[in-house]
Amino acid sequence: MSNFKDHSKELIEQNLKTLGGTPYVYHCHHFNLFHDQTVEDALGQAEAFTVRSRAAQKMATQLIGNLIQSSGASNPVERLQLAKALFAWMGQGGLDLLVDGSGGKVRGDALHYSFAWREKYGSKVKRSAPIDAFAAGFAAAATELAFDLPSGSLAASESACYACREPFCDLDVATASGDAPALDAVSVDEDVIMKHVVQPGTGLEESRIAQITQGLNEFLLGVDGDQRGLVQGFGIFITRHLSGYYDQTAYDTIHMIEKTAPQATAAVEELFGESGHVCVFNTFGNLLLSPEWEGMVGPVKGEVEEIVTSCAAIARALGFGHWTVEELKPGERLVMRSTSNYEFPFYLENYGRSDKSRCYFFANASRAFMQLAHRVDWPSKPELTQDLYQELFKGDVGWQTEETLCRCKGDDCCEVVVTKK
Amino acid sequence: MEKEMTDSRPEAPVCGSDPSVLLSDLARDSACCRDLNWRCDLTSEAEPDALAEALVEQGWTVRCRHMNLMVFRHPHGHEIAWVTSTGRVQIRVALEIDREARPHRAVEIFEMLSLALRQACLRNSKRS
Repeated sequence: MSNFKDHSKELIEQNLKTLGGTPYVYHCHHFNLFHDQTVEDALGQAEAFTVRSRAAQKMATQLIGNLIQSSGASNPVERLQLAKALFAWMGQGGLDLLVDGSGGKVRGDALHYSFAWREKYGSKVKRSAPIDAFAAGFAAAATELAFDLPSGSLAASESACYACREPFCDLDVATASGDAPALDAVSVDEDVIMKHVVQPGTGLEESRIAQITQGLNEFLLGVDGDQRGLVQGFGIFITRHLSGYYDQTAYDTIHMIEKTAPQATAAVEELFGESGHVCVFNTFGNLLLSPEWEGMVGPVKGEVEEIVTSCAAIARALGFGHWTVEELKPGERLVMRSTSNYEFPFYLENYGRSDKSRCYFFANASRAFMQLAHRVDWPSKPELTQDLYQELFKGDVGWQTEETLCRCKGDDCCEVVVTKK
Repeated sequence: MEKEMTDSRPEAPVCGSDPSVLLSDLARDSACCRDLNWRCDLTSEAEPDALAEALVEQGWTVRCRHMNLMVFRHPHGHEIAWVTSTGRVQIRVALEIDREARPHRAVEIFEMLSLALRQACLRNSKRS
């Protein structure tokens, strides 16, 4: 099994995607690095690696397990081959799993996180801590499933990392220590999603948004990786990633901070929110400037309504959920709603109701829509450099965002209001 | 770097009796990684099928064909995306190429595209 398109399913009305029954989304390396950096900033590198690898292990167990079942892979060799091919199809890089029932060695080549880190920061920053926690958790899950071991009985660490200027990444899979966190998060699948989402609504420019979403989905299905398991789509370095990984790492981190250092909670929430800016600037922005967009929709004119509704379409196509534009006053105000997204179903299923809004990504991505719509000179086809990102998003962004309604609080939908400061 | 690329550009291809330059200069395009994407424009009409045929003869494959867009992929992972409705071309250097080598590789791909255009034009003029 090397083509997993047949196992990818669109929950079309909700604009969510599943792979082997497990929710997934498209995210680029800028977002991935920023998200994981936020976990590191909050918890420290060693603790963050554990949280990230165990979240990856939990989510990968669901995904690989379902695909083993549906493919009929019956022995360790077939199961490990499936896991390796799956990892590459997700754009996570190459894994060579030299493992048996007690664990073993895993060689990683061009792993997404370390490759991307070195690409983005390698010429400026020296890193000493390994970064491939997602690959480690995935490798541990694959080994457990290949040899029918109990979930969570193994754990993986990284002894050599490409981000630390090693030629390859080396992961060690071994019996989990007694203090390893249990893999007790509840898996989110299609049934769980449908339990928490509500009937999709319609907003402004619905037909335009739906039409563009459909076109983008067709392009996304055609995206495939290179021999090393790295994926470029629309000229962007992307992954098909498990949304449960983002959810669990973000919410576990925030909950730990809420308990241990409540005064720092707002700062950590703000950082997870900033990942929405990072994603919209890099992924949405480059997608709007891509030849695929120009061929399908036409060159971007730069009108505020055009940019915001285009961004809503992109969010849907990437599997972020059914986002609608409820109200838009250029220069003043944007109201976005979502009846589904990849944040609240996980939250409700794992933590229950919250007394505050929890869709950090949705809230801040919406703010970034307004910033892109008002501050980027689209007709000049600008290069979306990190200098431009700093100019647009560091300091006073000029827009405030508030998630006024949230399914996590028991509201009928999630609603974000972005207003000019 | 921009200057060097302009200097190293191959002779601009011309189509039959029309002396107009088909390809504009190569310039950086927006990309998620530095120097990965490059742009030029086909400033005169080129026959999509003839260009596709010439690129396929060079070893490129047609990865995507849309009403207004063609994307070709090289065996080494590079891509050429051509918006046939606007003439925009994006050259995408494969991600595995080291940062320092990307500009040079983009020029090489640009040269391959120029050669394919010449072949396509030649083929067209013979047919007509």
